[in-house]
Amino acid sequence: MITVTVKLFNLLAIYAGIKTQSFDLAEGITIKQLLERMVHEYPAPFKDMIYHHEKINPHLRIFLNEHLLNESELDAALSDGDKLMLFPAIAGG
Amino acid sequence: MTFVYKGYGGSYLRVNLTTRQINKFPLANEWVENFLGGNGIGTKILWDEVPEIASPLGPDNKLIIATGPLCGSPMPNSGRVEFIAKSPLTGIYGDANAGGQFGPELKSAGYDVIIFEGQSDEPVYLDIHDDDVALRSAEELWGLGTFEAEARLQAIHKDSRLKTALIGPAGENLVRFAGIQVSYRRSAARCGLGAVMGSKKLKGVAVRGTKGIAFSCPQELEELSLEMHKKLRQNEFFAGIHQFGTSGLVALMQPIGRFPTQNFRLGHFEGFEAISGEVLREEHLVKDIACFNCPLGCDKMYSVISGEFAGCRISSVEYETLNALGARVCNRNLPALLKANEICDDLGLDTISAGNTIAFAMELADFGIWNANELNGLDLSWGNYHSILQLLHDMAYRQGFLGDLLADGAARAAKWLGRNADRYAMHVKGQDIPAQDGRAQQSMGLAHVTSSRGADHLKAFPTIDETGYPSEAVRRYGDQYLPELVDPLATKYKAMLVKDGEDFGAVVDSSGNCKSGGTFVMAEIYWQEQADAIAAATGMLMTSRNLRCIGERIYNLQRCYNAIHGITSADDVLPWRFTQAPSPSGNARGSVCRLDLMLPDYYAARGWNPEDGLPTQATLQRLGLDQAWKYMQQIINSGKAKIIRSQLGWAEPYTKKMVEQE
Repeated sequence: MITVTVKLFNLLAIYAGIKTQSFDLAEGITIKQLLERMVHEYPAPFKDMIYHHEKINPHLRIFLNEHLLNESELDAALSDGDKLMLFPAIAGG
Repeated sequence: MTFVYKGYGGSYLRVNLTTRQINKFPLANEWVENFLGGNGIGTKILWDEVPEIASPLGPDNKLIIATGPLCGSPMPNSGRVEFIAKSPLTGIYGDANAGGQFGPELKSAGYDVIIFEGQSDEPVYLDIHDDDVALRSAEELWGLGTFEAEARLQAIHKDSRLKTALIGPAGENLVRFAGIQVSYRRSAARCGLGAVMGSKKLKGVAVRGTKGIAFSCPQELEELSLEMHKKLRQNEFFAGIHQFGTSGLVALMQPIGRFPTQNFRLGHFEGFEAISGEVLREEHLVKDIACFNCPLGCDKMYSVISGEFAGCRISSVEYETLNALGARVCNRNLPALLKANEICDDLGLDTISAGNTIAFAMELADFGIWNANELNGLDLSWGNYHSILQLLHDMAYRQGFLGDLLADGAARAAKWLGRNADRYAMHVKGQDIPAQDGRAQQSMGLAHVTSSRGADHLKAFPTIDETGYPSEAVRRYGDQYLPELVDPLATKYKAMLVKDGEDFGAVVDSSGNCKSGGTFVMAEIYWQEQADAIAAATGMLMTSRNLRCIGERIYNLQRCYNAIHGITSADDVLPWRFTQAPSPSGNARGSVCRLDLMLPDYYAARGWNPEDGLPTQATLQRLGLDQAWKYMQQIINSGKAKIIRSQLGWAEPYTKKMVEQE
């Protein structure tokens, strides 16, 4: 069993109704699988922020331990103590 | 000569503050054909009328207020107004831009441009009510903060719809980073143009316009505008920006490592949540507000209802301010930060320069560079928000040794002080660096050094590579530049991105619409859409190709203006921290800004000489700026430019190898 902390920002936190959550997960679970689990746990609008036409929303920004991930990295297995930060589409300033 | 185009007020005012003469002229056709409006016309007037020897705070400097053809139009986010003058902060080309309602009101009174020249011997304000224009005494307004001065003017004129552009005590006291506050509570903050007004004893402009604006093809413009409004509302970025404005960026910048902290030592702020957009909205939001005709509404009104800073009420709390008066000075107290923002807006200070200057002072204190008797009892420990608030006040009123010294900005203070203080002044060409660490986003580092007004993110405004949005990049540039174009740490293609942003940005700032909604962050309006809107508004034959040429012309003329002040490629540098000290933060860990790789590409893309970084004769000829080339050569070859450069007054950015000290 591993523990992973997820921080949600901006509209994601509003739609999920939560800013930070720790997940106890089976070893080997991937980031994509965790996103799928979150989509089922949080209210419906959250799903629309995560998926776009059944694929990961290209505007979603995911950082794993402060490293910006691209889509190909989302199949990587998570490790105990990992920290994820999720942002919807925002830019500027 | 009759002015032939629609979509403009159609005339301009020349106000001589020495003689009190006010003259009204038709707008010049060649101005709008070659420079469009706003930023472009202001640049042209500055080039033609403010010589290189003019002192920024002397009678020969001119303050130009200018709107553009889309200002006050149905196009989304069309409330912007430009202020242009020689900058008292940098000594070179300066401009500042604001939203709100002042620009459309001025245009509705029939004026696109006001040129203020000379100096009054007593405080005055310009009163405009359509055709009635007069200089009136501002004796009873002088010394007031901008909030009270605006309310007083509305009371004097018995008109709550009066729109104003005002300076506070900071401008009156010639603080070199004094801004101009525009109705309603928007700031034309950068470059110290409030001090230009102060030097002219010009408290402000009060305007009521009831004429409206006639457009060339109103139905076509209306249809295009409706389509743009619709597209903006459907844009993926719309909801998040509407909800949080730019404050929503605070959290995002942490893992990127792009959030300047402790005077740029770090790119992330421990405990950033305390000053994040999320907490700001949860704990302090009063209501959402918006500038003229803006569907986005990124502006908000906030208040503090309890505690030490109860009663504070402030709008436009931007990402930049949350950084400059927050992380950059290690201030985690959000109510104190809001109070600091309120003080800056009321007294008329640029929050970016104010915060950067205080961060400079705090770093000097950290290294024991101040003598105890210079601090007037202030504790300049990082994060001491009582000292921050006191310093803002002291700078605005130039009180005490420290307040007076820092009122000239970090780069000048470093020069006066000596003691190796230049190592801690984070500036480019005298301008304080805003909240983008070029180590974390290479394009922003390049943008800071190529900006015509000194360090600045908004000239080029590269946003597609902040965290990398390929879909947005493809919409503008196709897929040929991927993946490097959207990789924040890659240097390839960033010269192209920055040049295109600068040219398009010059056009947007000359048109009167906004960079935050639709033109940059939400890429719905680009060259073609902007050209179509200008054509429909004005009746001008306008293509995207023409518009690109105008953008390039404006930006090149700004570079020429800086060149006659001795600016060359030698000034296109970042302080050591960005190029010598690897970032310790987030996604940028280990990265430095590679100007050495990007600048040659940039000069090549611009058609500028790779040696001195100045526009070549061929480039200026292509843009119809032959005369500018001749004059630039004359001033450079006579040795005048070098002399002027040596007198700009700020310490050179420190670029030698340094190691961060704990």
